[in-house]
Amino acid sequence: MQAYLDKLLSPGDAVVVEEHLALCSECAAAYRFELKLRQHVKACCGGAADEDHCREELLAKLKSCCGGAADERTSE
Amino acid sequence: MEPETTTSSSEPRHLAARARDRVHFEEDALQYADDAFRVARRLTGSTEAAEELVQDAYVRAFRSWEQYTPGTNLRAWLLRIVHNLAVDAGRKRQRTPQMEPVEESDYYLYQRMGGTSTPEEADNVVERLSQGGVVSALAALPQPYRDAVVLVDLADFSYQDAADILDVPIGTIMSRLHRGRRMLKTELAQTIEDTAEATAS
Repeated sequence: MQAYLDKLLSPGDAVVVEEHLALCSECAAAYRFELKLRQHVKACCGGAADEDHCREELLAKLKSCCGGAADERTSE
Repeated sequence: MEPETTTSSSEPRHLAARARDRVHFEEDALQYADDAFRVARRLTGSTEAAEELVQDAYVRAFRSWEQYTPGTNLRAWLLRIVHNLAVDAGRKRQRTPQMEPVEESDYYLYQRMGGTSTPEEADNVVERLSQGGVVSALAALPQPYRDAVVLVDLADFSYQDAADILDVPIGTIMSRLHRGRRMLKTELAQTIEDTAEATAS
């Protein structure tokens, strides 16, 4: 099931797992739990993915670190 | 026939080429700022610490740009610097050696929580895990396992990306991820038991 959750199975194997999950309530419940747990851990440890972008201020600071190159350009 | 170049004329040309290479390197490196921030944020757990870490990493990358081999994976090279700085910072904070946590089966937590039969029940059971408990459980994992879980499960990097960043074979990432997830679930089960005991007493 971990391989299915990680999307590592071939399409054929994934179908076999999906068919089983549709018929076996015990495995389906365990699958739902695992899926929900991964989402919850992710939400608790880092927040939403849409916050994963550098702010403009940080980008400006990073660009200012390029000073070494600017020095070398002036010596061209 | 090419005109013969003298040492005096080739030197400025060499410097100019080097400066151009460095400008290209910096431009290319800046394209991965979002990725660097994503890794830093997940490794440090805070936006402020992540911004500081990314800035330190870029300063180091720009300073040692000639150590990068052109044509190789620049993104992985940069993210490895971010990761190494985060590990160094973590070591400074944590002086005592870490104990290897107990590792139970994949479904240990599910079984300890009594299983669930409906999607709503699964939601309720998982949401009983507080944010503080989850963060502490993740922090209790030894560094190599935590890194694999953080990069793949929290930051959505592929196994190959995580392997490149940590500079280990992909099989090592898979094994660390597998064990790290088990350790995390075991830690989470312990957190729930501790909370239940505290509530009962």
